[in-house]
Amino acid sequence: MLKSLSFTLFLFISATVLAQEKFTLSGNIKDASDGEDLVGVTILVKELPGVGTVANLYGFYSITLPKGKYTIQYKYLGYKTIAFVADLSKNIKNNIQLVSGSTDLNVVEIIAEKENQNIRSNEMSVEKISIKDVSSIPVLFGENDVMKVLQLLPGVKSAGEGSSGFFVRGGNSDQNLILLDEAPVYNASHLLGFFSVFNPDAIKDLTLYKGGIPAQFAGRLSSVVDIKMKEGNSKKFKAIGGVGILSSRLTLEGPIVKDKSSFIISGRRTYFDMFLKLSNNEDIKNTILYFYDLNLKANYQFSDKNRLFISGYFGRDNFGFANRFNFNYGNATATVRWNHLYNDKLFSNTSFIYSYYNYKIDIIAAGFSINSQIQDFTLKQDVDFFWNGNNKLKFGASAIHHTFYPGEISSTGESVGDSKIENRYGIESGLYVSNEQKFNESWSATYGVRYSNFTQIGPGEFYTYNTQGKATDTTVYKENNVVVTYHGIEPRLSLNYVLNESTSIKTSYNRMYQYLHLLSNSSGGNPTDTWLSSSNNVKPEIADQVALGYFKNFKNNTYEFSVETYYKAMQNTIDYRTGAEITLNPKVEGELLYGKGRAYGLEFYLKRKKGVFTGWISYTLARTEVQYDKINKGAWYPAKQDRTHDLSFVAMYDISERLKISSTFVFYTGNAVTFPTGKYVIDGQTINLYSDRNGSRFPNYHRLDLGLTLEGKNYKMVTNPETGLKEKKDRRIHSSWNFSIYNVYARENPYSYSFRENEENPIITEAVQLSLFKYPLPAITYNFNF
Amino acid sequence: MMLFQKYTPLYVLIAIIFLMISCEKVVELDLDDAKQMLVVEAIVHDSLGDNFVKLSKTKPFNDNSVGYETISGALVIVTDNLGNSFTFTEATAGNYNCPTLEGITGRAYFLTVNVSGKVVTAQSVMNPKVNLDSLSHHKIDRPFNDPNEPPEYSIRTYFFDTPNYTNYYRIKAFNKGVQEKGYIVLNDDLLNGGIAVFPVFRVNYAENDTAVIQLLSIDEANFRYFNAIASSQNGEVPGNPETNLVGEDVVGYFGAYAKSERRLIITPLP
Repeated sequence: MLKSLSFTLFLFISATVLAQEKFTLSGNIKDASDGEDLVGVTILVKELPGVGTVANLYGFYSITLPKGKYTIQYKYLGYKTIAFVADLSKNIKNNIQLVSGSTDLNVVEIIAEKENQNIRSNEMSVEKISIKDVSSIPVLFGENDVMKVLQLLPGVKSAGEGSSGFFVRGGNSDQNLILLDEAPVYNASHLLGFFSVFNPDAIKDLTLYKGGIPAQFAGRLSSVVDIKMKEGNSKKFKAIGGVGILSSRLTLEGPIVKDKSSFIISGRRTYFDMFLKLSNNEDIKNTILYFYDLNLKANYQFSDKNRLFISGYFGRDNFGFANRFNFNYGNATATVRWNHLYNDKLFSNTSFIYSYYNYKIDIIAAGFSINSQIQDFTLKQDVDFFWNGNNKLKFGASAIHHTFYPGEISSTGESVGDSKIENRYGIESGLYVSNEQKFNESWSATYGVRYSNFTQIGPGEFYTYNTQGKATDTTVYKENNVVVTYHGIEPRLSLNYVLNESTSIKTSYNRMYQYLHLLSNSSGGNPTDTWLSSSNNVKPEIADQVALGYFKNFKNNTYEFSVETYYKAMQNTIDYRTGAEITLNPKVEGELLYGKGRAYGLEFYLKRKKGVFTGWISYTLARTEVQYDKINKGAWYPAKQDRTHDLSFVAMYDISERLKISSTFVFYTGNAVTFPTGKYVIDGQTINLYSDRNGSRFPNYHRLDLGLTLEGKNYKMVTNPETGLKEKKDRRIHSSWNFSIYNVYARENPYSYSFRENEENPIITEAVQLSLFKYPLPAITYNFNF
Repeated sequence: MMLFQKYTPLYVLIAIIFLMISCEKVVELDLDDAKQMLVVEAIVHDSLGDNFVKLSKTKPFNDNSVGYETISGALVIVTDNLGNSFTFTEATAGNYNCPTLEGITGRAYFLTVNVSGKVVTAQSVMNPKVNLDSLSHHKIDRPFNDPNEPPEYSIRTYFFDTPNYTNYYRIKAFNKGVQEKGYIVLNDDLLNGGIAVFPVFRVNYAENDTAVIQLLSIDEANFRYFNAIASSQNGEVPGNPETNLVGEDVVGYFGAYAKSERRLIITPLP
């Protein structure tokens, strides 16, 4: 099919060639120091202002121009710009290696010229985080975490104190698609949500799409977090590592065949339980409590036209008391990708992806264990067609086979028999086409459409429920029989109007379908939350979002400013009946309520990108409301993630080449919650009386963190035996110390409230506030690389 | 399935991690005062005169005075699907009873409460009784136990879940004549007939106590009510549990329960 498709496209191209003689310049762009692919490098043609292209996810670029001599510039933030004179009288292949230019002041000025990608690009509501940028931001326990940095950006809200979970533009935490090398990660957190599963040493960069989501992404309503693992250094062997108060990290990377093939292996493990071993108490000594991550990746370039990538992730949390109780959970993902160049304009990527999450609880004392998991196999084909200077076409198809294992109890003792909730199966597929088109110097657009389909298949017993949530009917389906099919058309559009080199106005619209839903009774997410597929009862969630933004750069692109506003309407959102049982319940679909939501807001973002002082301020004014017929008498009410104000302030200051200080401050309106308004007695026990769902608020949250990074000297003075003069000599090992203080002024931000009878006097009822951090929390980390 | 939440000591994990740095304190919250509601608690058991209807009113959460306002002088009537009618009389303030009513399996019971013209109705079906076959007790082996503390015991119940019939159970535990706290309900989704061995969660006894355990066959509405009340108190989705009472501004439940009871003396175990 692909062959005939490319043939059709070939005819197209031939037709254009006949009209005017044109030639193509193409190639790969890499980092000169470590051979990593550089994603998103801007390629400009000096003689044709406004004409250019951007390298794709694998560093491949292609540009087609009329016959002639051109000066081609390759520009990338933080790298020296390279110019190259191309005599386009034939198709040219030019692989480029860019040199990092962060230390050379002159170079910084050169690249400053065209650092307005944020103005020129059609993308809006997109945030990119490079790992290099996050290392100096102070974080909890000194554990660098991209997900925590993400929460400091406009429109992104933390799911709670210390949590790596987040909400994007009023969406729920399960409406974020988190991809690690294209593989969905179903539970992206460790240790009950306090740390993300992304080991910073193994990650290259992160892109967040919160609006104007491109057509190649699908499956979640609110956002896509696209995380890429490093490919590994293809020039030389390197080791990177760190020792912190909570965990240690070690990464090894290097060439398998120099400049052709490389690998990376990266591990991280916490050792909190090592301290427990020091205890005199036998029970504390036998407590197991740790997590680890392992990332592996290798790639091999067979020829100029073929390249293979294999990457994998494996991580687990383990928690237990010896001989009594054991609880472990984690993700595994694997991605095999094949890049193929059909010709100098047609780039193809084929991916095979495996994704898995499970949790297992062994209650040894009571003689039973609980197991639950989700497993995906995905086949995906994406094609980039660099049509001509003004059009870049993308199209592709994907199919995912989902298996849901909601839960199984297996008994080893006499208590509680074996039982299993039936597996569920589904196939999620999609087809898309999208074009990035430049109409003239001012106007450009990316427009596309996606067709998505979800089919739930047997075998199994499927229930139907009445309005009270009681199962009324059962239908049995055989293996691979279709239970229900949903499908939809998802238009995606972004439009960019460039007013001048430093100002643009953009607008976007996207429709998203979500066929998978997370059953969770906590906002931050629990490891025991399970995914539920759309079914004969559960319809897909649908969101429509429009956004409008104004983008402006100041002072030679030193400052970036943007203001965006959005409105999002959601259908078929899910909530629970009061007191619903959502774990290990075979009739869980009867516990669900379906409603709708609306979210709107205004996001301000001011960033200083260059100089000794960098950082940003982000402020979001927003509202998120939901409506369910059975809740609050059918009135619209604030969703739990509704926060009126959300402010983040991040500042980094380079005191000297070796000493950096940093600080973050966050403030946000407390979550909407349901507090009791009264009480009564049932069976001799006090019961809280509630009125409206989410009718109360947590107090405002605010916190200040400080960080300090001290780089070790990266040279030593050596006396040259010939001249007798002292000279600088590079040290092999580079090291740094990182000190941080979390919650500097000891704000007791509430984590939860419970309402209960007083232990001594049950007549008295009291509200009890739990704050996780009572004191400022210092941390220290030592990092090295050689 | 409750057993899962009761057994998963996630809070222990949080406690360990944040033991040193977290802080729990009683705070004064400015809570809205809800409209005062009528509270109805009513049970008809399958033995003669073993029934009650309690009527009271709710009060604000921060009101820590002793006792709740009771409702006297209400008209309380229970009828069944065969047309029998039983009028309840007020024994003590707010407590109503009918010595001539004996619940019978398979019958539907209808409650009508009239409080100065305000009417509350409800219905409940008495499901077949399931016998509590036996009880056993087990020494609790808990992490971080102080070996010098007197040992505590938990109870397991043994009963036969009727196959091909949807059963719902409530378990009540008593010690020294007082009902232990906690609402324990169970459905047979994961039992499907056969011998059920079910632990009495969170209720612990000391040596030489006499444990009294009731196994109550209840209907689905009561199962849902007590299931919800247990998980709706301090969870993420708190709210008033769905009740089978029909009327304005009323909370509580009405249940027709078939009861099986056993007692066990907690003998010291090694």
